[in-house]
Amino acid sequence: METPVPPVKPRLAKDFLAAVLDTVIDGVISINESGTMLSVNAAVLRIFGYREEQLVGHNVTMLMPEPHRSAHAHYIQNFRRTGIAKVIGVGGRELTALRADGSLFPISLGVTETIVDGVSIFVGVIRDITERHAAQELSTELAGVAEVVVDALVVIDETGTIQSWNPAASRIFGYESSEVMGKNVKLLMPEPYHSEHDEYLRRFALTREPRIIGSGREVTGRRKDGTLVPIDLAVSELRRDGAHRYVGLIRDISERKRREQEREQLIEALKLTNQELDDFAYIASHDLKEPLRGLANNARFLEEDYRDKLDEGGKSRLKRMRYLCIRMESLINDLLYVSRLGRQELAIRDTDLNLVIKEIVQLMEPVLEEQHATIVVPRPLPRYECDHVRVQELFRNLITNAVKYNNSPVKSIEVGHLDQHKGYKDVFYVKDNGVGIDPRFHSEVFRIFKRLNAEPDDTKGTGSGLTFVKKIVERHNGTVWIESELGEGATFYFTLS
Amino acid sequence: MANAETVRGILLIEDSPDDFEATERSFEKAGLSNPLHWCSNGQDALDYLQQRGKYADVSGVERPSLILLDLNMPGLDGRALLEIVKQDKDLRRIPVVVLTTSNDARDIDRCYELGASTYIQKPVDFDGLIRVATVIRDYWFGIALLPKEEERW
Repeated sequence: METPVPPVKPRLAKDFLAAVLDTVIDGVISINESGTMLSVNAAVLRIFGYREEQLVGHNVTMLMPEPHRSAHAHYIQNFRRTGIAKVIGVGGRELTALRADGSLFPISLGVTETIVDGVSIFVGVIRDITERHAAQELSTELAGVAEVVVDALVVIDETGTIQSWNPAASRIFGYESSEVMGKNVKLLMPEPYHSEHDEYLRRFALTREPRIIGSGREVTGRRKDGTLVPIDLAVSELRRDGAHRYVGLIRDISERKRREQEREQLIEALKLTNQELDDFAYIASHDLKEPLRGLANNARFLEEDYRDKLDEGGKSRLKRMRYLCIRMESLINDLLYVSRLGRQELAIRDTDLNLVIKEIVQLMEPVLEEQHATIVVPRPLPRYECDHVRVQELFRNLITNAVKYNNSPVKSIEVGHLDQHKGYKDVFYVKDNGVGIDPRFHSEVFRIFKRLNAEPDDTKGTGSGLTFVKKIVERHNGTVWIESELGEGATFYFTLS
Repeated sequence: MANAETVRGILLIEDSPDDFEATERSFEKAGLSNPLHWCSNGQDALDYLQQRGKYADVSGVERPSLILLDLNMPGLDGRALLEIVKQDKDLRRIPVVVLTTSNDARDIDRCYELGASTYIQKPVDFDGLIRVATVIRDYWFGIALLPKEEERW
């Protein structure tokens, strides 16, 4: 049984009510018909940032921004004239108010009218709704986001019932919002997921083991018309105010899938073409060699058997024919070799490149001596994972060129390695003081059988040395390039990975 | 050192008439005087070795002491012929020297696996061919001893 509370005595009542007024959170302002503030409570001072003496006796319009400030007098007049309450008696009306520091903020305002000692008093209750507004704005903004975002946002509860559906989801699945709200999300899934989804939800609720939660996954969805659509699905969990939701972010990846497939097909076709080209070069070289052999032999037999019957002109003509056959054979051999470089597996091994260079120097000793050429390796070369034999050929070709295309009295060739050069790592180089290469031809020189200068028959090469170099570099997934100017030597740089 | 028994025929199985001519000529230069019989394709060679077809009733067809075999021929190619010859109990004792353009490791491996005695890549120039002929003469008809000819044939 409750203990009756004794009524508060009249004199104490006034103090009591004054205390109550000064502790309430909301601001309470009383004004007269001119708008002059008669009383303000402590909350008003706090909310608006004024001292009591700055407000009492002043017009309430100082708490209002335009246009209300100027219009307030009219508001009161209109009310007197028409009796229509715009703010009076109406529940919380949202307005914008003005603080002492000039900042604006949203308020909820409730105004009532009363008469005290024959004078009309308006009492306004003011609530600062800045926070509520912020929450509302965020909510509105997010709702706006969901409306325009390209990806589908579907929210379900723990039973799989669809709670939220955005226009993008309609676009992807073909259902209007009204057709799916309240239905189970499994209607968007083909078998077997359609039948298994309930189980997934149950299992996750029990074990809390995420299978799809938190990560994006490519799955297949089912549209309203029954057709399947490849989608990227990312699911997150949302728990708030007791509500348990799963939020699905869905992207239609049909286009991505199509492009992937096209790319796969293109790669396959390219692989096939490359294979065919290499096979073609291989077969052609073999089949071309046979009649060539016959040609060379026939020319020789002709010369041998009809030696007495031939004059000098005839003999030299036959000699030329035999030379041309040898030449053709070199070209075919080089073609064969290039194609083989493309077809054969590399024997990648940990290789001591210093040894590789040493072997080349040994091999080329007579040539180097004859040509007054020296090979210098300023810093030891690193060990490297590569095909020993091929890389040796690579260096040998570059060094041979460095000696050959060189008119200096002392031909010096430098072979080395740089940790970095022009943005590449582990760069090897062969540098010479030779005749140099015009930048115009820096890419052309790698073309098979391309030579930049006419050469006499006896020393003429086939022009495939650099093609071998390029092919070997490419087989190692590296890059090769030249830095050179005419008359200023040349440096060939390359990487092997 | 030649004697009556070793002066037996050599069978050259080769589809190119130019290559045959060159081989024949190189044998002459090398002083390899064994009679050279030429079959231009695998089937023909098989008929010859087995005394079938057009070789059935012809006299003077004798089993060769050495077979020189090209691999790339139309129809029954060298590899198939090698396999047949080396599985035939009468023919497999004849040494087969593969003489072909290819130096593909797979070809080399396969031929030895099937029982070829030697694999030689056809030299590109005639001088090289003379060298090969000389070595064949010195090895197969000089140092090596060959199985005796069977009366049955």
